[in-house]
Amino acid sequence: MRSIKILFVLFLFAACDKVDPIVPTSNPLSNGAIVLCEGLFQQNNTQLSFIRFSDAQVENNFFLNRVGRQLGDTGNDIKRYGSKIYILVNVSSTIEIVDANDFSSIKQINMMNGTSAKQPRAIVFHEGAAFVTCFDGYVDRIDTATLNITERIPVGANPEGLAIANGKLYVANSGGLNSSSMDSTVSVIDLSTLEEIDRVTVGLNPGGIKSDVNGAIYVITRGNYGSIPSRMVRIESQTDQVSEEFDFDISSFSEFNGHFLFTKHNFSSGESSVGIFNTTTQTVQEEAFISLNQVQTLYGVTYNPINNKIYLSDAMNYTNTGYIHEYSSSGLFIQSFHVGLNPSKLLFYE
Amino acid sequence: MRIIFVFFIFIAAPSFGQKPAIQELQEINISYSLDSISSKKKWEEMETSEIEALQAEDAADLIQKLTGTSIKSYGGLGGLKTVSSRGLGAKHSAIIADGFNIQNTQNGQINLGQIHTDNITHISGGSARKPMLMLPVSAQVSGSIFLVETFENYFGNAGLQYRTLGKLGSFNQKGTYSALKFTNKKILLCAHGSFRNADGTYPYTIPNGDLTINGIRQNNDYQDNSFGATIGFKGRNSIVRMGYLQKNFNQGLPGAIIFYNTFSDERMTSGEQNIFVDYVLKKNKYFFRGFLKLNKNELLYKDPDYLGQIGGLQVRYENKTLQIGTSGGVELSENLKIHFGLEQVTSELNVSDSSFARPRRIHNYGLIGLTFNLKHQLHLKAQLAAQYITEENTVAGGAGEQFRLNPFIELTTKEFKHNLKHSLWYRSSFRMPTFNELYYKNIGNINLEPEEAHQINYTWSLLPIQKNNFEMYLRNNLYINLVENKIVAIPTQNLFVWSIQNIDKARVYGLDIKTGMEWKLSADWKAAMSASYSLQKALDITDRSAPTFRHQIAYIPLHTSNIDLSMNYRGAGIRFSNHLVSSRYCLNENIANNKVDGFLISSISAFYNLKLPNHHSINMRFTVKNLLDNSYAYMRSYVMPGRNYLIVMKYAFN
Repeated sequence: MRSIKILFVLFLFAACDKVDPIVPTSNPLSNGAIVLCEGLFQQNNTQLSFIRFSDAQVENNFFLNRVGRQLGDTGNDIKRYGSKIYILVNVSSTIEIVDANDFSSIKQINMMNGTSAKQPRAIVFHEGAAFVTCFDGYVDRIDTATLNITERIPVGANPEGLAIANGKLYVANSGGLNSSSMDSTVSVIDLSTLEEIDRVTVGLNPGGIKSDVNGAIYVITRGNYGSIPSRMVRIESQTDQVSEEFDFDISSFSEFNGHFLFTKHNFSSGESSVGIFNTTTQTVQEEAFISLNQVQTLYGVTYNPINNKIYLSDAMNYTNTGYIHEYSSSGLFIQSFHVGLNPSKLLFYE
Repeated sequence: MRIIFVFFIFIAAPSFGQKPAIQELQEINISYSLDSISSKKKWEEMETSEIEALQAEDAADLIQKLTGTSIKSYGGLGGLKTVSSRGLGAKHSAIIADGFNIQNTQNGQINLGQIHTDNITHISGGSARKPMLMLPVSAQVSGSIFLVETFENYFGNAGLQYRTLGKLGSFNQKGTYSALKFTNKKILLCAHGSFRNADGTYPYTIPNGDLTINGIRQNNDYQDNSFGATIGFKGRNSIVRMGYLQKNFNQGLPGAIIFYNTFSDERMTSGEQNIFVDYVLKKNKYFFRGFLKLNKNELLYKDPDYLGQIGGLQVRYENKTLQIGTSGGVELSENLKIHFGLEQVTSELNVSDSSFARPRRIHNYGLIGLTFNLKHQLHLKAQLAAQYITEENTVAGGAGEQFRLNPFIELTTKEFKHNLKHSLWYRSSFRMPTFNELYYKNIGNINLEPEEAHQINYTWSLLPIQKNNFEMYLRNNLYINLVENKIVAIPTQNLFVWSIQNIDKARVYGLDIKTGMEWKLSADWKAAMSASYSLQKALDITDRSAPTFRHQIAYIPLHTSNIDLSMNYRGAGIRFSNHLVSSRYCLNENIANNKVDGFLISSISAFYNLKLPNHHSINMRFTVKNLLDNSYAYMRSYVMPGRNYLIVMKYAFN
């Protein structure tokens, strides 16, 4: 038995791994970015990476190091509201709430409806409340003071993104879990009554949704990843009517000095680009604003107004750890940061 | 997300239960020896006594004792378990039950967890094998092969035979198996049936950062039953045999242990029906086999909580396969034998979802080979296989035609002093994309090419040496394998939309060592030891610029080992069995975050065989599995059971 155990120990140490160093990060957190790395389905490997801009150091497994446990399976969104950060983990069906200054855990909200997972997807905030889309066809309202769920608002199938304009909450109903019959609508919820007051037809498989400075709502309809292309439509929040359907390809977007940075990805060729959509002129200002020589698989774009830089998420081949590439506001490459698996959303610290 | 999960859990039940013709050929005194199904040299094989002593729950528990194999187990009785050999994927492995290749064109792999061991009398296999001339060509051309023989289909001279057993075990497991057989020099009649049931719940421990989570595995219940009959007739030079086998399964699918969300209520109900006819003729210097098998698999998957449809998801799959083939050979001279084989396998898939493909595949096999005794104590074996595959899909476009030629060549020294033997062989093989890989909704890719494998193997073996009361054997394999056009599922659009692609390339360097010793200490006492070690350096060589270049392929352990000790006194005995698997990676990138810990699983079993007058006997066995109560997992997030127990009592007549 002793020899077996010795052999076993040798086996355990047979593979040598490169272990990410823990970079000491001071409290309160500052001058950096938290990167939500989604991980992969059924791997329990969602993680956060912290990029320290002052010396370009990265601390991976940031949530694990700070909180002492894993985030769970398939993280989907991260946002800050006041002194708290909210992290949505879809398959684990949780919302992790941590202190924005020292990243200590405040609460984990278990997003279960009986035995059924609600599967939270995206979050926005409005007047002391968080609104969370849940894949089970609801938007949950969470009181940000008590951190309790106060309301479940029924919407369309498998809601994804949400945005607020003109006292209303706009929810993109994707229906994406039923590929043969996806949804095509945006639910409009009156924030004073918390009731759905309208459902606007926008196009197949709506996902991303944003408002501009003028209160217009823009929705990306992702099509069927094949014959029906991914496009953008605009909804006027005064009338809740679709006012324009844009005819350029778009996969995702991010705010950029009042306009949008947008990505497009051709799934057949694998080619991607990052452009600028001008919300004032309602036109594509630049088709290819950033050269993507450093990027293998473009997985997201985020503008940091604090340091006036642009960050592209690179998912590599989706099964290898990814990169965040940093660019100047004029689109020039600066540097890359090696982060966790499938980096998507970024949250910035001053 | 669930689409991916559904794709991975669809394992249709294996067919099982027919007997190879080779044993009968030996029984009718063939004038020259064909390659037998097993080497009979204690290399990569287990017989009834060893199988019973191991008290395996299923075929996976047995096959993992063979060198060079890697099991992927998702846990639990009846849970999905597959085997790959020497770094080839599981879909390169053929499972041959009683001379027939178990086919599942829908997913291309066989769930070993659904093959119980109560009726298995012999199991052997791996990549290191000789050509087995009487097997279907579809089996002979596979990358690796595992042979299972059962009690139900042997001819013999025992007359009336009866076997029945009952078992009780952890997880509220209950099981029974009975077979009534009459066999003599001319007739084989057998009827058999089995039943297993377990609630499958077991406590587990899984680390989560600084925490240790203790939970109970739920939705892991399992029930199966089977029944069948075989009838056979033996003439002076020939055997004909036909039979029917039905199996039914009903099980919960616990899925991965997801942190903070462990609930699962998916279920799978499946069943299969098999009819087979097998004819073997041996006359003078000729032999011939003709066979036919019809298999129907049905599978119903339910996910009540699926968020994509009101009322959840429910899909029914029906996969039908017809195998028809021949094999034969002739001894042209003392030094030259030639053999051939032809086979056609027709497969169809029907799915309740009208938008799903309705594929139909016709896979034609042809093979010709020779065995030639060269000068200087050398044997040459060579064969060339041709395969032509056509496919259609009545719903939309189908995969195109494929044609492949695959050679096999082996050079073997004759045995000489010290019983030392050398063998060098090369095998080329491929595996077709499965129906799921080609057509699965939103994931499948009809432009997939077959996944190609090339194997080069060198073996030296010290054949059993017997001296006084001591016997030992030793064998060593060295091999290099190359796998091209590896078929993998990868996210191609986002994390929720995957696709199947031919992108990866792998090279495998391997070493197997196995030794065994047996001492007859006295007339009553016997001790035995066997030990094996396998090194599999399976490297991703897809892209030099990729971060995973030359990293170990996911879930292939660098080291595996088995060490077994046993002691027998008359009809009683005890066996201590150990299975070691080194750490692995859940993804191809070999970083700490992807590491899955290695494990050691020890089991101990005690047995007593009570011989009663008039050929009656009772066999009692008690086994403690995972003796050290280790928390371990073959696959990340699929924790296996801790210490568990099994008691079996078997009655046999003749």
